Order: sequence, then C-alpha cells, then structure tokens
Amino acid sequence: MDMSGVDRYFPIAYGVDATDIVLRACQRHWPECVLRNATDDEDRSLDDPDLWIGNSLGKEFFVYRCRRVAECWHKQGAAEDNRDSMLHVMIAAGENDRNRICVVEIHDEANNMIQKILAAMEQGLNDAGTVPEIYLLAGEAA
Amino acid sequence: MTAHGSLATGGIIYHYTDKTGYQAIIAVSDWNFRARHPRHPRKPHGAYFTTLPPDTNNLAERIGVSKMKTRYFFSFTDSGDLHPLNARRPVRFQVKLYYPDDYLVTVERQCQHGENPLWT
Repeated sequence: MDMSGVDRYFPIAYGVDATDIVLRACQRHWPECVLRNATDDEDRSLDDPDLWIGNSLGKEFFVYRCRRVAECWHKQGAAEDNRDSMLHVMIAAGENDRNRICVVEIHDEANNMIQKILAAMEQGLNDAGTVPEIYLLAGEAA
Repeated sequence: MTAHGSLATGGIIYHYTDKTGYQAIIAVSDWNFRARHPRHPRKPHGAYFTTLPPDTNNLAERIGVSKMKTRYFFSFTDSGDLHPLNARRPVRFQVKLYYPDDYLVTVERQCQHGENPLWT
C-alpha cells in the first residue's frame, strides 16, 4: 500500500486556540468546506455553531473543500482527482503535550490554495497577537 | 532512524491491500510484504504498515490510501523492527510504519487475514 500525504508542522504559540485558527484559515479560502472528526462518520459545515463555540472538534480531523469532495473521499479514499481538496489536521496542545504543535497532512504540495491555507494557519498559530482579548486578560490575571 | 518500539496499539500491526495483492501474499505460508518505491519522491522505499485496525473510522483518509486498498487486511504481532513514517508527529498520531526492504512475517507471528468486514 502506497500511503500518500506529506506533513507540515506548525508550532502553536501559548494561549492560541489552534482549532479556531485552523477553522478561520479554511473558512477564508474554502468557504464551503466541511469537516469530520477522525473518529466520527458525520460531516459538519462551518455553519454548525458547535464547531466554533462548543469546540466539539477532536484533536484529529479532516477538512474537505466542499461536501461533494467529502463524499468523494469517503467513497474512494485517496484518488488522483481529489488530492488537492483535503487537509488532515492533528493538534497536540493539551495539558499533557510537551510540544504544542499542529500537524497538517496534505496530499498535493503544488496546489496554490492549499499553500495559502497553510500560510494563514502558520501565521495564526505562531502569532499570539491573534489571541482573543479575553485570553490575554486571563493570562495577565494569572 | 529508530524502530518504533512501543508505538503499536496492543502490539498488532496491519497491512491493507486490494484483492490482487491479497491473493499474492496468501499464496505462500510466510507472508512476504514487498518493498516498493512510493509515488512521492521524499517517501522512503519500503513495505508500508499501520497500527490502525480494520474497524477504524475513516481508515483510508487517516492513512492516505485508496478505499480499494483497504478491502483486504493482514494482521500480525509487532516485533519492534518497523520505523515510523512520520517520526516528527506526536506519538499518538504516528500510525504509519514502514520497513525499508521486503518484510517477511513467519507463521508464528501471523494473526488474521481476509476481507475487511467494514469495507463498503
């Protein structure tokens, strides 16, 4: 079996909500994307408020460019015509994680849109300035 | 390069393949998983495996293979000589393994093989 996919690694700055940054980067460049937890079999759109407020995404999830693409991945797995349309995101930023890191596995390194999404993620994950003010205040109080 | 040691869940390793690959491997008593050159130039030459069992949700997505290649599986006990394919990942996400040459699994290490019951 030939396992496709190449990893990109992004350190996560202290206090940054990695899932929120990933969602916003995808929303900006793939506005119709759908997401699926690695352990679930339900596709969820960005309209689902639980994604944003409830933080119900797990530490490993997939982002598909649109619902049609998601269905293609579920039916065929990795294929020539869908490699540029899915991100496999893994986030290690819990209390027991020594290194706060976001791993994004991509299947088409040459795709411009994917590169833009990764650049947006990298900037947000590394930039403590993107942290909502409430987190900064909490940090100062501590 | 270090062998993955304790990465495998429960010490069981899995290999997935299609019908043609499955029939070739079971044709002899000792399973021989052939090393191949992957399409990606930076991926190592080798035989590829995973720690994820057949009932794993989104199996094809998680290991980056076509759905057809998850139709048949082999499982065998880990002997600690496989390498993580994504060594920089946090350990919990290191589910892909490889061996840089053909990989022989003798009868004593073999567990199960057959059609993936959840394959659709």
